[in-house]
Amino acid sequence: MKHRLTALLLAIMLILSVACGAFAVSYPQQRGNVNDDAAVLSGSTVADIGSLNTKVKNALGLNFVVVTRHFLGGAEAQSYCSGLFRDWNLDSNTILLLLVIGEEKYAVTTGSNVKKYISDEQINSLLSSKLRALYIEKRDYSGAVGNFLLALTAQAAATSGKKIETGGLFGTTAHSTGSSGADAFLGWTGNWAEGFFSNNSYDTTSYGANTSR
Amino acid sequence: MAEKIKNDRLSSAVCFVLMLVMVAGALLNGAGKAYAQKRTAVDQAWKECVASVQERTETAYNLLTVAGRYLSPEDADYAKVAEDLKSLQNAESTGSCVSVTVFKADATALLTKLAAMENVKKDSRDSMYVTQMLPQAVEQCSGIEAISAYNTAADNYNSSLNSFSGFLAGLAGVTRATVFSEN
Repeated sequence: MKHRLTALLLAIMLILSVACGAFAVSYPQQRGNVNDDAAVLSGSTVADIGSLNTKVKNALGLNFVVVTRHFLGGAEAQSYCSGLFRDWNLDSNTILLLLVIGEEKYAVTTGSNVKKYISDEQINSLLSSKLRALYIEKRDYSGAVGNFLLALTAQAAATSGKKIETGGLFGTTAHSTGSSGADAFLGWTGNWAEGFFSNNSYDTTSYGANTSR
Repeated sequence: MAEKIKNDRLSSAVCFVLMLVMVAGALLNGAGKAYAQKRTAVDQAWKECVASVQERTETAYNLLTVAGRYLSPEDADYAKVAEDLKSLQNAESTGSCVSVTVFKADATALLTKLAAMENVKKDSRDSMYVTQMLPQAVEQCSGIEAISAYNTAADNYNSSLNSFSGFLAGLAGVTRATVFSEN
């Protein structure tokens, strides 16, 4: 009887594991601090994110990771962002910014140590004031990312009482539409699957930031 | 003496019953294990079937995201793809969904309508989605092969359950596989 019960339990576990596998969320592989799957960020922006990351890491120990996707296939942006944070094993000092270009959505997930420098409310406020208009209305994706990261850095530096020199970074794209703006889509020759598919959950999306751990 | 013989007979009967129980248990256990292995192949085919449905589901969702910026949900072409999406989202619970052929036809009609709209043409991002990325995604949607492969595996598996060992496996808790349908 014990064996049959064990067999029954094993069968139930097998069925559950198969069922869970069927709905498993799949995430892309992480490729450094900038994962521009939608190919909307300019080369100089990618380089500046790297430079800013080094400065912020040295001064505060924080780390930026930026991800762009065309669509999430029905996944909710904030859930996807938090899932990505966990899937990539990002540490408690990381700030993950996700832009979903085709859906005009964005989300931020932060590690628990980030709260020492900047709260979720402050991040939400910066998303509204520094990122949203450039991202949604002007479609200046590089400008939006640069503007947001610079403001976030300034806020975190002010909280810590440290000075971080950011002069020259994002200078050419912060407030203007450049090659990374809407015209980046003209003559598109990319791989259609890049940043196109994501996972299989369907619900509504909200903008904003949340803390992952 | 009579008491001893009675006790011996009782012990023999208990041993015989125990032996029968053990043999039956071994048979059930063996049958269950054998069918669990067969079931793994069916489950693998099911995963591919699910992936194919998921591909269509995500494509439908992404198409409707772009279309929603230009058309109302009451638009006939939009409504057809929305209905397809609903069918795809419920596929796992209902065991059926819209076929690849029907989905491709509905999606292509919506894309054609969008591509002809002046305000879409003026928008370089959405124009790229409507004329390049989404048509490629729709074209790449597969499904017939994956679903046929799953149904064949499920049919074979279910047929094998009609044997005596399948009957024993049924007693051990092994269930039949559901056959998937496209409409």
